[in-house]
Amino acid sequence: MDKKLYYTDSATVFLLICSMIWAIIGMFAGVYLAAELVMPWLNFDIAEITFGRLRPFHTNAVIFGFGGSALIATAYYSVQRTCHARLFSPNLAWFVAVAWQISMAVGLASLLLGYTSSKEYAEFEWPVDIAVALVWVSFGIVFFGTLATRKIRPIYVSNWFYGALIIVVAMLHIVNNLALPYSWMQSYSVYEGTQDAIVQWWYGHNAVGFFLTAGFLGMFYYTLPKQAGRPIWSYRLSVVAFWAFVYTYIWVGPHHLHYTAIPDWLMTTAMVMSLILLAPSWATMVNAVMTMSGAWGKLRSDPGMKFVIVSMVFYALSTFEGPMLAIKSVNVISHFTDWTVGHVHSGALGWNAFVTFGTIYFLTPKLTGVELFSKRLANIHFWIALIGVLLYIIALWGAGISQGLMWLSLDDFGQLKYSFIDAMLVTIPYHWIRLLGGLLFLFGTLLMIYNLFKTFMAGRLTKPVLVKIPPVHKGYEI
Amino acid sequence: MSANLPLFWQFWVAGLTIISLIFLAILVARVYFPGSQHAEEEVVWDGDLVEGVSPPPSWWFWLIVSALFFSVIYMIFYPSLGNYNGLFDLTTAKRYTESKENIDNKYYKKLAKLDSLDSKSLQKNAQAMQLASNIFAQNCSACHGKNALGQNAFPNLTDENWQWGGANSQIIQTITNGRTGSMPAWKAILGDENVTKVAAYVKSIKTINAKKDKSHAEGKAKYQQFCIACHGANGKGNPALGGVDLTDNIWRFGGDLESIKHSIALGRSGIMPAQKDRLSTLQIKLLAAWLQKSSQPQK
Amino acid sequence: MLKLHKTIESNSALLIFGILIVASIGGFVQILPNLFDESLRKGVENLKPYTALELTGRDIYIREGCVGCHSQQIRPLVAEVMRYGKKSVSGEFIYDRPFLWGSKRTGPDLARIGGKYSDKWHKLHLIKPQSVVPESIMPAYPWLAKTQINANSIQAKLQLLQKMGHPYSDLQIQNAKQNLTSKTEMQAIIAYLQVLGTY
Repeated sequence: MDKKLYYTDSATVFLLICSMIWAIIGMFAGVYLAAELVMPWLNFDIAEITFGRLRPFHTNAVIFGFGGSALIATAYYSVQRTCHARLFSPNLAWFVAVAWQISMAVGLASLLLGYTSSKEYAEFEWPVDIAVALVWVSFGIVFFGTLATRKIRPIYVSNWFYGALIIVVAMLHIVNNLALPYSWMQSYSVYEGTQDAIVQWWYGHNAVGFFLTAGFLGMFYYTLPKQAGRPIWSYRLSVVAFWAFVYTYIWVGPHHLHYTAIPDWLMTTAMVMSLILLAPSWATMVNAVMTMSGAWGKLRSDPGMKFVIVSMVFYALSTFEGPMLAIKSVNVISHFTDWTVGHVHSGALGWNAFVTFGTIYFLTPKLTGVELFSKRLANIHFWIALIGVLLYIIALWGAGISQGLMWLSLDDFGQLKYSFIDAMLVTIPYHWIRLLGGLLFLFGTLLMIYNLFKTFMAGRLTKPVLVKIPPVHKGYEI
Repeated sequence: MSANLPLFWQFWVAGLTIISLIFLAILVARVYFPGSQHAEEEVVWDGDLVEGVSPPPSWWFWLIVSALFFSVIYMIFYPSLGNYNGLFDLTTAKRYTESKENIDNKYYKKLAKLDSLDSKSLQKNAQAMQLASNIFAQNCSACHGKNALGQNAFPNLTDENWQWGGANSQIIQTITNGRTGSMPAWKAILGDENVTKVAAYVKSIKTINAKKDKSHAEGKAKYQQFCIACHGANGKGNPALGGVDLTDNIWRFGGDLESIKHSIALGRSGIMPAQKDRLSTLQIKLLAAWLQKSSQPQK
Repeated sequence: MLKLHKTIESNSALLIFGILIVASIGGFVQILPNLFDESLRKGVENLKPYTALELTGRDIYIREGCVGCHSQQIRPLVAEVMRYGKKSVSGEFIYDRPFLWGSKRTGPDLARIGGKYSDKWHKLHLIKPQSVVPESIMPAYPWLAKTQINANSIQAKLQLLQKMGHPYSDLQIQNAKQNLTSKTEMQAIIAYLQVLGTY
């Protein structure tokens, strides 16, 4: 048998399993943090699990552990199919898969031990940063190598997005993490004060933009039309949305620094670009909805597709809420409050996690060669997760808006009406609801993992799935 | 803040921003109006993956066009493109000054009226007292506890004891400029034995002096030698120096013999941070009036 | 344009190049010019670089992730200035590597906390926050009072910062280690908190 005639999916399977493990670890940390906020005794006076150290552990575990592994896995899977080519250097692909996990494990452990550069979503210290950069470049070689050796001439839209993910995240990661070390695990940023803030949020928002959006859009652009068995509705809309997206997103970072000590003009450009960004974001949502029209019936029978479609609803919601929060007069209230945290989770849980779950439910039968263990369980997962994420974001709307308004309220004499403690006490009931929402979401994920575990165990009994690379339609060979 | 870019970078910012936005507009226009020679392809990837040929919806075109239009208008009016401060100079600094003035003007009369009252009248004014209690909750309760009842070694402000004096002016002085209380350590000078004796004397100084009790003669002798400068001959204290009254029943650091011994042997210190940069004179005045009102002899 | 796009999407090198160019514009406009805006790096008057003890405290603040709940940035809003003190300006942060402005106020802003409370209060509060603020949800940090400062890297830190332009004298660097002997992490972090916003 000539291996070159077949796709290679072993690294994908490995990465998906790792992704699920990180999901449990990262989401559990998140739930624990939510619990610490309402029951501070849960910090137990143990340095490693205090809120301050556990929070970056949570964000990095879910974004880069869970999200990153899922992105690399699905990129490997879809780039082969859309290029009609075997993965470029499967060995390097395996190296990426394993080295990514090792970097994450080391990085996350070091965060708990207190080694942090303190820049949000870029907390890993310099040795881990270098490892991550090397692995990421290797991922780029595998991905673009596959693109370069493709058999079909046009490059499918999902690959544009995965491509943007790889290139821009490499650029962001390297520029933002430039630091000079003073010991083998510690360093100081090469940027000082205000400049450091500007660079950090250029990175920070685009970690959201290119890691959590471009990458997952790549996943979405492959999964949805395959699930629905229908073409992506409008090619031209994809074109304009893609480039507008890549151009606009990179400008919006300073909206995290509204009314701070940065120059005013940065806030203005960030705000207007954030508003423009609504258009390319919603273009994808339109493409999704129109792709579905005529195939809505499949929603009933396919739990994976439910996840993907609802992920689009949350995507639309978050990408509407984002520009609103970027408006300076709204930001005055929302900034520094739970509203921002709720916004991030409506994106991270409702959009990123949902589209990943949908994709994994879609891929698992293809990778194992057996049907999903239980569709019913997957449906239950869907509803539990949906209730969880809704409780979560509604609670934090309540907490954030109350907090933001109370901080700024003046009394009859033009003096501050509420003390900081007053505004904090108001959030506590909301924080309980948020904890409940998080718990439900975590529970749903556990159901999914059980479901996948059973499916994989059944799949092990059958022959390994080998997919032969199909021929390219006439006229489109490279 | 306003930017201060060198000329080259000013052109760089303005040029790149404007040109790139124009390019975005052109891209949108050309994709929406591709002209006649554009022919859609029907490529098929991976078995059944096809890009659709539907034209993009027109509402989306208007969405991005209006967003672009708004952006241009907004950038004309507000600080944008580097050193350009907008048509009406609407910098954050200016807007802050304006809203500060607005708020000051709005409440000026009310506050001026409060300011004109003396502490007695303020104490009778329920609104003023409510205001003062809010100010206390926001600024003072982290140390002095809820309702000024004190906690840990931070003094209770509702009893009759005022280390630095309970007159209105003295309280204002304490809040405004802060106080540094420092009781030196006497262990090296007195020795353990004498510390115990002085402590025993101090513990019951009120009763001993009243009854002319001789049982603590040695302790009393040492006391008169070393302690009276701050605490006074009869233990009544000296607010000017922050020497506390030892005859009342209020012991910040504990009134049992061991605690008093500890205080004498190792000294005590307490700092009240100055609040003049954080609170206005009116706020301090209100606090002083409120504190005087809440300060009552203990039953 | 669509024809051009057909070319780009048929050529992976062009696609890579295109993404790189288009995604760089924002950074070229928003980041690069600010490296040349001198007004961003002009320190406010009387601002001093952190002493060895304060810098050590700052690194402990970073290590414990305090920035996750406490901002150090006062926005020019009337109510905010009333609550926390005068608005933050760029020149206050020129010795901050990394910046610690934060993005969330689970606890209050700390930009001008220096001098607001006594050292004793900070110590009690850090060992058990609820002992002074009963409603507080802040974790306790009792280990800070029990841990001696690890002074091994202080000279390397100061030398590095000196290289980056922070005005430390060679003497200061020489004495740095000595200044930290027999001090606890609690003393260091309180020294840092007490210097915030005071200049």
